[in-house]
Amino acid sequence: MIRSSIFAVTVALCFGTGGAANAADLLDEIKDRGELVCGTLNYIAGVGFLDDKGEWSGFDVDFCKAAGAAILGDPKKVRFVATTGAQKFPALQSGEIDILSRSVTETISRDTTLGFSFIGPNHMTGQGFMVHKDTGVTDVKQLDGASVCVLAGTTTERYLADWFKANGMSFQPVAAENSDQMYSMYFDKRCDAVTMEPPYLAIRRARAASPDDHVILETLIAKSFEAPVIREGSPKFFKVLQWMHYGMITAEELGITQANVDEVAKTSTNPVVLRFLGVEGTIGSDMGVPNDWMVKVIKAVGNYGEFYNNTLGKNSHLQVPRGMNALWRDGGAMVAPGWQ
Amino acid sequence: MRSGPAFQDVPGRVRLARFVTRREFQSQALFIVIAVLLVWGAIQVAADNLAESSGKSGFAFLWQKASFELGESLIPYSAGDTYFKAFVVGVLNTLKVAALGIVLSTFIGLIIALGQLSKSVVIARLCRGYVEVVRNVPLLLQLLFWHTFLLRGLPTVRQALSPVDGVYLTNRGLYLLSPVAEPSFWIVMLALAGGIALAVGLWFWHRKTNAAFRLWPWGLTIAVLPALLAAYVAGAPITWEIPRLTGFNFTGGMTISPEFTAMLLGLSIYTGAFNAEIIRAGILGVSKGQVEAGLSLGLHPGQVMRKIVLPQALRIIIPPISNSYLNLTKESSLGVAIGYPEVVRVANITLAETSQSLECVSIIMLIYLILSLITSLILNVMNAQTSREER
Repeated sequence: MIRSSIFAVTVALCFGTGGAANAADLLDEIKDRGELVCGTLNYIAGVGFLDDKGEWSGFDVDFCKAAGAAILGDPKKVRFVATTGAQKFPALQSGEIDILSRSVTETISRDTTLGFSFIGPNHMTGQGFMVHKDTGVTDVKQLDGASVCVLAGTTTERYLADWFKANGMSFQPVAAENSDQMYSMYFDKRCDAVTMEPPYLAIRRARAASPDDHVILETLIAKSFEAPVIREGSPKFFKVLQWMHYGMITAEELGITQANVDEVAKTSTNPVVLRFLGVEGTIGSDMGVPNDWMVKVIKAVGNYGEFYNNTLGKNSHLQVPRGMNALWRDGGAMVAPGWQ
Repeated sequence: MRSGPAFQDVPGRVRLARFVTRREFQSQALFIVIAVLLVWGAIQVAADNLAESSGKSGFAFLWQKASFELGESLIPYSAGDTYFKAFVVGVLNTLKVAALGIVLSTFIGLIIALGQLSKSVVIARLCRGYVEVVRNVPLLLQLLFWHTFLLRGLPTVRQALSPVDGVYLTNRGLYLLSPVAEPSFWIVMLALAGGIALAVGLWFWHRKTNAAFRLWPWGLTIAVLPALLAAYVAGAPITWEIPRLTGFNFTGGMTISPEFTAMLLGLSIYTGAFNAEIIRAGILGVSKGQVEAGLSLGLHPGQVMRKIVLPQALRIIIPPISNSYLNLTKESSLGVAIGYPEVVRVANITLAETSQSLECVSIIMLIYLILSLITSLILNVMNAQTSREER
């Protein structure tokens, strides 16, 4: 399936004109089209998931819904496309999708050589390990000579090799084509450890037959800052998405939530809030979107805290702590420039 | 040419003009022009789109350092070697599983074909059932089945099954003793080479004098005996490296990974079913009178099969079975689904690292094209050789 989609994209590159060839800003094109096309995941609940009723949900999905609300005024005007690990970048490059929101780790080489622009990052985590408790491993450095299960074609595969090499240690890679296969191999003891971002490891451990038999090691071998990504060359589109991300953080700072946003817009006298919600000023229309765009975004997915908690955090079944993803004033790393 | 000898007398200029005005020339030339334009257009559009979308194209990335490990490899490879070397590792792994798969699937095919033709109803039905079941289940599912079966069915490293000392069967692979050559081993190799040369020389000489040359046992004895003698004289210059459980895994010795085993089993069993039908058709294609003639000469059925039926059946078998071998080689690309590091897996991971999808896909296509052409070349030569006996 993966190979056939790569071939499809290759054919698109060969014969299609491709969205990339279009000189106009993608923002105008999307408004004309009346639809935003979002590449995401369809198999990890809480991140990107397509349920049996045909509904898309999850952190990465909600970002696109918010973008639909900001640009087209309606989170439902988003068409989701399930992308695989190997095919995600060609799909974006060929113009098949407008945004790739698929837990893509931002790195310098991806940002500077692939012709991409990263938004955010909107989900900060790192790369860790889960090991079988009976191996007695308590620290990453004890993994010399171990077999490690890894997801093929991800940054984890590269960081794993880099880290073991840097520390003069060896390992046996056991590559899996998808994450279900990877965890199933790990639980069958085909490998001693499995490497992935800790939130995802926690999800799988919670579902294991006996969760206590598995330990998630504390040390992270790499940062993994995940960010939605678009093609370079559409500055207006980029700014809308970047400031939408900042806007969700700002809404949390200002105490504006999904429940009270209409109320606040009517009753607030705070000039910052009034500007933010587009009651006063022309911030939105100057960017090429309606002035009340942030109201639509907050109504669609909430402020950043709600957005996180409803999909990954404490209001979801995953219960991943916010950690680095808390606001800067709460000791986290989520920051937004001023809304002046 | 069809104009006969008079054609030669016409001046070259006129000949060319006549040729160009011929309709078949015009239609074919038009076809070539359209084909070239299409290909050229596709390349141009792709190059433009690529230049605009990423700015990276070309094959220079092959000489950059690849930072990933591949697991199993026939040549020493580790992260930090070039992408090119990674591709070589992938091609060798593809070749390894394809070559062994071709041998094993032919063997399975022969046995199942003979079984289907057996007089025993039970054996015939069993073999028929095998063909029907295996042929009608998608290969990908069979590969996943074998992989899961090996991972779930075999013990973990710590509870390794050890039928003999130095052999350990686990769900991480089969660990075997591996021979390690001592410095004086070259004497044995030299003796072996000498023995083989002697046997081959003898064979040629026998062929010239039209005398019968028997490979078994005389030819083989002549080839191997000097090596055995040399090994004895040199004091058995081979030591055995024994796999030992150190830390997480067995180290030392030889490892056969469950991914490779699943690939080999899946490909051989699946292709074996197709080969069985091809071989059965070939055997049934030899006329019954040949068998009866052989039997009436007093040969027993085994001899009739070996000396009369199979050599003639080969002529019918080789063309379709070469297709089957080509399919096996190409289907080894499904190894990517169970993490066997064959060439498609290398291409996928390279693609993820460099995002040069067109280049990676064209490398895979080129490699499979070359492998297929080589396979069909070998089989065409074999086909020509067996056909020549037809008089």
